[in-house]
Amino acid sequence: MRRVPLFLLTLLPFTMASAQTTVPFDPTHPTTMVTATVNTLVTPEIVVARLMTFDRDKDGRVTKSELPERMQNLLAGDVSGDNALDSAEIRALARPAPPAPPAPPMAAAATVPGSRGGRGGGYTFGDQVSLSTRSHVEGALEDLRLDAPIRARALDIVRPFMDRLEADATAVLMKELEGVMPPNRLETFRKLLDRQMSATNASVATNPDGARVTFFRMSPDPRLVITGFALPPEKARIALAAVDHFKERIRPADADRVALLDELKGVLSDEERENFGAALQRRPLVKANQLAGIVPGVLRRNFVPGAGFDGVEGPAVRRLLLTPERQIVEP
Amino acid sequence: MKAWLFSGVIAFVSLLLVATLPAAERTLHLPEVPYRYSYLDLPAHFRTPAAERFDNTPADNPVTDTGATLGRVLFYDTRLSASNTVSCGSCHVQAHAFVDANRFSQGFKGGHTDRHAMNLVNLRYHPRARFFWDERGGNLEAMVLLPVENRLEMGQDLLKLPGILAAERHYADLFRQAFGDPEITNERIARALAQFLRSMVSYQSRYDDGRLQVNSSHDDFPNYTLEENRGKALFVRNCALCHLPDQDAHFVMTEPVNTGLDDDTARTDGGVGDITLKPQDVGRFKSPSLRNVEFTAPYMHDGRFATLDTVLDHYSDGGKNHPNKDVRVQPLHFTSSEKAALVAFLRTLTDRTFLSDPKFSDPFK
Repeated sequence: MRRVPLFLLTLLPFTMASAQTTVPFDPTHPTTMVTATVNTLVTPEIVVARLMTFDRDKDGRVTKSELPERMQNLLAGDVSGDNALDSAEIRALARPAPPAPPAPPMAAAATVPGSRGGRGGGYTFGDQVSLSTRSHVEGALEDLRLDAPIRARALDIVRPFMDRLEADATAVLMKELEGVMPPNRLETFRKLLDRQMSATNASVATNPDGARVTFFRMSPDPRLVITGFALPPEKARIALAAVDHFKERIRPADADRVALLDELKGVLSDEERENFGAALQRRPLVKANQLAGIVPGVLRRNFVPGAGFDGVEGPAVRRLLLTPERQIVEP
Repeated sequence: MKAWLFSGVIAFVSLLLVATLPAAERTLHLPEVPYRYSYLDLPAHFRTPAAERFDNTPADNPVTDTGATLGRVLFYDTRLSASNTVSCGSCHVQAHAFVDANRFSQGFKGGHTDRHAMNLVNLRYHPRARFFWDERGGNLEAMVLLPVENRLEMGQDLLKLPGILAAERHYADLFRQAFGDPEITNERIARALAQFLRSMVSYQSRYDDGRLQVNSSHDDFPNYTLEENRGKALFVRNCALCHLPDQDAHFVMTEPVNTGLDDDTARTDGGVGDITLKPQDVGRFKSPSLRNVEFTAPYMHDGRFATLDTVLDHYSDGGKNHPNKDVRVQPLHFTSSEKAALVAFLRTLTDRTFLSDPKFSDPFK
């Protein structure tokens, strides 16, 4: 038996987000972590073009009188001393600055003029954090605020629907992975996948200090598990592609949504079905800048005591997640 | 030629007269005992450590009853403008949650601003302590005098302002009560105005009543209708990540954001980017508090949206493809009944006490 700290491996994406690492958003790659503020396609040349729109006399320089009053402090960048900004001076002002030191804590930042208070961090789609999309689908149903009997009837349709969706996706995945990895690896992978798919994935709690937190049951991302298997490159590529396809398949696609809404006819009113369908189209974003996936966010209502966490109180969850015995044991 | 010269002289003399005329006599009405600005009976969700972290009150300028009283008088005093016709309260109207109901505000010479007046609701709880749509204002103490001296808005000469105020008998007493002696300085004017602004805290909405009755903002509020609770659920799931960050009291954003209002990077207002010239800041704007948002129309930095419905249409569509558009601004595909529910919820953020509280009203009326 070999102890593999796979659980710690799962912290990787969140650690990346908390450090505000630049990770380009790739919409074709479902496991990519997206960040809110790091990348920009705006270049210094665009900034120059923007400033030059104020050059009313078209002399290639922007003078103080040509700028709105709120922008006249920019003249501090006039290094030539002609009381105007030319393209080169604007370009110099627009050049990326060296990395700033870490922002001070929010409380300290509040009274410091010019500081960038608040906690930064990345954002990710909730269905990337939780492999299963059940919490989103059931949450969308919850948001309709249905009467209890109607809600129960709707859940009786939604849950088996998601069971089928996930079972079908899992079957396809396992089929695609056959021959890519040895049977014992495949078995391990299946167990880890089942554990994650059957788990209740996310919950929100309010800490004693009033902070609202969302936390997720952390299981190894299947891509990381595959990577941990150290397969030959070609087989690893096939396996990772299969996992990506799997992740797409377990999200209800357009046709799935139509089918589900069709099944709900007679249970939900037309308006409720329309609202449910609209909610299913959305991909909720969550903030992912805190350790171990404990993030302030919007997912909720799926915490089940005993399903993996000891309590709903934030620091307790944090301790739990960081306890060494939470390492996953590979047979 | 003579006629032209004569007209010019007449115009110049008229302008001179207007500039030097005393403001129309206005009687100051203040209570004998100052209103209580320094203590607020805030509900529990404002008093959590997570919520208190948003407070930008500096240690050297806490809100005092006498300081905020002075700030209130200054806020509504037209002598702060060069023409003696415009006060802060001219464009920041209490009944409209301290915004201008007009899209653009009229300055002391009749010219118009090119941005909508921001609301002044709960400025105390903006954790970055940066103000104006482009965040060029450092903290409230630094920010408050910028509109006063702005050549379009109030046009006052700050070098002359203390002397102008000293000519008014009531200010000696007000400054003495606030600061211990009657000396009038621009720094004291700024500190008093900042105290008054920080005292403007809205915390008595139906949202606040409801939040007090449940354990979490996620729970249905017993004082809400079904539609309002549905709207709240939609807000929590789709909007709270930005507009109710990490706590349940402050409906503010902790950083300026590009929400995809425009896709022309050169010819549209650059917001923060026009101040920093940093490419990543182009098109980013500060967001005001959503408290009392029912009354702060028109919306956005340029007042382009006349109603909350049109704001929701924007977020429903996901905005335009500005290269700096924030990743959080995704098409939300709200249905018409979802929009109605969201608007119903947003209206529960209205605090009618705040909108009519005499301690924030014009003391010259």
